[in-house]
Amino acid sequence: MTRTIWLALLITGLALGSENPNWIPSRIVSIDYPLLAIQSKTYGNVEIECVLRRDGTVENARVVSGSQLLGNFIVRGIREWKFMPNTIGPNPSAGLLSLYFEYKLGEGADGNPKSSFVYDYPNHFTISSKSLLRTH
Amino acid sequence: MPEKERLSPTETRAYDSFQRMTSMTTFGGGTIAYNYSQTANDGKIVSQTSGAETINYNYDSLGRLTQATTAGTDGWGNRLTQNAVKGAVPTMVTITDPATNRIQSHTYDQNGNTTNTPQQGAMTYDVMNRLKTVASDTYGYDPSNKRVWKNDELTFWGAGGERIGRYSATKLVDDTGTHVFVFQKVQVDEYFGGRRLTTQDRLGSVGSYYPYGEAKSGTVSNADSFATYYRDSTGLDYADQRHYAAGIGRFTTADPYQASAGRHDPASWNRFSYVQSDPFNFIDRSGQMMAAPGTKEGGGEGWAPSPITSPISGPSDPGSSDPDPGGGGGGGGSNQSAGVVSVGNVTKAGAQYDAVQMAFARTLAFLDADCEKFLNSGGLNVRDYVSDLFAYDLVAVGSAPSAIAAFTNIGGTDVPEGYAAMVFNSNSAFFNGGLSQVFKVNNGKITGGTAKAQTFIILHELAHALSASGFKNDLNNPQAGKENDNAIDKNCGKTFGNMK
Repeated sequence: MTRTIWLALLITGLALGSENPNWIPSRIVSIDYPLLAIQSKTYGNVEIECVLRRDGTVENARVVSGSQLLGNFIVRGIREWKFMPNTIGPNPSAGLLSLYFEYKLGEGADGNPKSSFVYDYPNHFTISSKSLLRTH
Repeated sequence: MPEKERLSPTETRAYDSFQRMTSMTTFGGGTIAYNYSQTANDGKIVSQTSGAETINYNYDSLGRLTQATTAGTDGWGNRLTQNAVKGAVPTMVTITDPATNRIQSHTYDQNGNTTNTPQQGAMTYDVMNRLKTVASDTYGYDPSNKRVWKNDELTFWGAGGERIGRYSATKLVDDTGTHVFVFQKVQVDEYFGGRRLTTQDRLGSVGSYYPYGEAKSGTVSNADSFATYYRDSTGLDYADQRHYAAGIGRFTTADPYQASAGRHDPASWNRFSYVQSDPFNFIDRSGQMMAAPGTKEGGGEGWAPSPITSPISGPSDPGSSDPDPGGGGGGGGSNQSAGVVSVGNVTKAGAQYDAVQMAFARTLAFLDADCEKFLNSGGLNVRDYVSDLFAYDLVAVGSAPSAIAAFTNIGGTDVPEGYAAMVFNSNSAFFNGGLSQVFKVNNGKITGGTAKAQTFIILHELAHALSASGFKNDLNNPQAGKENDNAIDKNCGKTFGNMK
């Protein structure tokens, strides 16, 4: 299944590299800060690589670097996202896209910390929350 | 998350110009030197030096060990006596029947299987001549004759014939009569370059043994022992395809592999003897055929599984889970306030960690519907949460003041960032009944250290972790802690009822 995508990518030329800014999100569903990451004070940068279909939907995604806990959570959420079909060249093509997520954990809070989600063009996302103090 | 500690064992071996191993330094420490004859180029070890101890080995004209701590074999190649030349060593005298090659004080069945010995008592065999029962043990085998069951203990074997791990099975019965089996790891084996990652000597022995396998100090029971074997509490060694009686120097059954005997080799005609009575130069990993210790099992003869040769792979995702400390928006590490709890010896291994894992499994097995509803009332699912908790390796054990049984969230502690979400205190009533004065489990209604105490503490932490409805923040607030305990008591009564 993915092989055809890779083939399509090869045929359209490697110009559609992972830094290709032509894939603009058309639908973003916000991604939270995972509870276990807050509880364990896990933060940092995560790079996700998505394989996109011609119509801009997400075929597959994987964690390139960063915490698996954060990364897997993103991969689950990102399947809901959509991108503008790539119309560079004669035909719409499938492609590969890298997205960068930064998880920030502020100083301690109690109760239920809310997380905020910020998108910076073209492919950078920041998710912030507050760490939780221990409970016995 | 910090990278998990990686395995980096080093073992050093030295060889002479004939490719004979002259010394070996194991990663557990200690060097053993092996010496060979200056005049006979037969590859036989004439002495070994380990620390202050030197053992000399003498052989007869058929290459059988005649003296080390042993002396004498009969025409069949059975060990007859073991005499102490120096020091206190175990001695033995065996009388064999020269007509039948059977030990006189033992009884045998028609297939030559040993059915009774003074040491082990009665033994029974299955139709494949595999040991079925001995003393209080019952064994079960897989199609390749590997022993997979020992009473309630299950052993997993890899595709290359290597042992992967041992697990004990516990049967639990819940209130609906459903049987639940919980498997707890007893030992998980790790390999490096095809060798099991324990300190083994040249023969693959764990510990120190006399030539035929009697332990030099103490009794080895239910543990890896002599020359790659596993010693049961019965005193017999599980030798892969057979069982070996170290004190006698014989297997309890005949060699199942017929081709390991040959007309040219008289010593091979005895189907019971151990490595043709040369136990220091040879080993028999599978109980089927002697082999030099350095060779790969089977020696390319295609009759036995080979040990795996590829190095073990490290934990998945090496390094990538380590957050960039500069890009993290400043976690709590910089804000060490007076309320920070110092947690020592934080670990995810050892008996206490295993006990926590077992207690989680037990808690979920006995969890009743009301309790589950209560825990899920914050909008999350307790079973998914626990599954993730272990999938991402976020449970730890560490030492903290005894008044804390366990805590959720590592904020306000010095547990490394990303290391754990829930930490159980090794100095607490979770593990120890003697600390009930310091920390009262369920306001003193449950004795510390018991299965119920562990489940109570786990349910309390889960209610925090999942923000169960009405559950309060009890940091520095003992009154809230008591109210939380009451909420567990009220909602999870049936769970404890199930645990009777």
